Amino acid sequence: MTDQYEPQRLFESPEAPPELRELLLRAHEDLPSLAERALLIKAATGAADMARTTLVGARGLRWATRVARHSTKLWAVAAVGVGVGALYSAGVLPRHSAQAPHAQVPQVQVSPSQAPQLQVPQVQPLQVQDSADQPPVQEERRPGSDEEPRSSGGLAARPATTRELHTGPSAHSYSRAHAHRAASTPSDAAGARLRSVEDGRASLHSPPASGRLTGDRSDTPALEARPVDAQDNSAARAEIEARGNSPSPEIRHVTGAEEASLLRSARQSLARSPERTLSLTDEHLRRYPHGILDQEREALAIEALMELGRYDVARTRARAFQRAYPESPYRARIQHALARAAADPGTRP
Amino acid sequence: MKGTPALPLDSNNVPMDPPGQTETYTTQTVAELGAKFVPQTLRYLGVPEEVLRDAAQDVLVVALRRLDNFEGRSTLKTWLYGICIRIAQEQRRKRKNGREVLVEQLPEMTTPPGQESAVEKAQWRRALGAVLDTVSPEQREAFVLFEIQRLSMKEVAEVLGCPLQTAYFRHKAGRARVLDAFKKQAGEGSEK
Repeated sequence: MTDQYEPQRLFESPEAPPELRELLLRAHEDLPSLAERALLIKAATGAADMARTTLVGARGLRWATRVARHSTKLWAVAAVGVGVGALYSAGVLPRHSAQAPHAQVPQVQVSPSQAPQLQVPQVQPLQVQDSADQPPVQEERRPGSDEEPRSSGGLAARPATTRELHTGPSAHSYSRAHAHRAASTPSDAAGARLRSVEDGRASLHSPPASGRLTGDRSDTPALEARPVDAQDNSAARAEIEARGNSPSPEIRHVTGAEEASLLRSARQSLARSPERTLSLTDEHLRRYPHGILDQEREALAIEALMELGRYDVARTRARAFQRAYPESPYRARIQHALARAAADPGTRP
Repeated sequence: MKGTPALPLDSNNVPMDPPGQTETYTTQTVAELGAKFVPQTLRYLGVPEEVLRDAAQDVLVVALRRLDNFEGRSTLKTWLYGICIRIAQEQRRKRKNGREVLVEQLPEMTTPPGQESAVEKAQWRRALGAVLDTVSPEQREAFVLFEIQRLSMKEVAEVLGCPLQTAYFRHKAGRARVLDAFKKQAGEGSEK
């Protein structure tokens, strides 16, 4: 291997002072003792094995978190579904009123007190016909925020609009009635808007009311109802989202993330303050007596006890550990901790 | 397959690999081979005693984990030395960045009475370390591998991953530096 041009090594060269030669000789022979070598081999093979097993463990944990993440989504979807179902059954959402126009007739009659000028019996047959051939879907998206016993009461009044506009005579009366009802719900911004319409008599409502007589069927109230509709849907959506995002404690528990973070901080404090590690492992034992990381906890506790010099307790716990988990990957680590304390004369009590 | 004990030993009592060796090594073989010279090499490359054990373990763990990727292009020995060099560089970087606070001396280092040899050993190790500290990292690597580990220049070049001439040059420069520093140190010692 050596070639002829290689320089003479210093330890045999007259160039170097004898002390330096002596130093280099000693350094060359300064090999670790057999015991040290055995310890190093054991530690390294153990650590390599552990790295392999933690890799497997990490993969498992990743799967668990993935499932948990998806289950959060599932919960969110379920919550949205329930919310939508609830809104649908409460009659807030569309289609509800479009499906059966005649069913709304009695509802108009329910609130005559608020619309005294509505001549319901007179127009009833017309209304059925009208809304059947042109259901004003857009407009019917009225909020369920009315304080009436039936929340869909507001929806029912809408076919009356077309009918009323058709029949002509009481165009204003509808507008007023509607405004009355809307204004009776203080929280409804649309109500306020309608009232201003009524008071001013200058906005969308009244001019078409007179123009209706010419037979124009384009539905102005529908135009007006649109922004109200958007507002209400966004409110409902916000509610659904709030419900979907609320954390469910079961999921967080299942992943063991809290367990892992507790033990992580325990492991991090091992070098600097084993007392803290010990107290954290105790807390882990208290909180998760059947946790998924109890082998890790025991290994940490034993290492901390060795660090603290409580060898007897550590050995007892190590024996218990080996009885409980004879196949554990942490066994090598525990044995290493015990062996290291035994090998270090400085730390022996 | 030839077992490890059957391999010829070099001047360092480390089994030599036959040229063109492509055999697969067992974990135990690699760990045993590494345990012989890794701590010593790391020590003279400037890894402090406090972290020497951890660093040696790091070298072996890296070697064992990458064993499957070992292609036999270098010998197992030079491959392990190469890992030593990298781990020592990593340690140097850590110390430079000051992320780790090293205590002056670990309590484990206290030598029990009746072991003067340990004290003496620690003393001359420190003296040699002080001399080597005056040399730049690259030159120190070449010097340690050639003078203390007694590798051939070809092997040194292989470990350092540099041309043979560069290895020669680094060794030569390092050697001059060491001689200078040692003479200076001896002079200071005699003045006192």
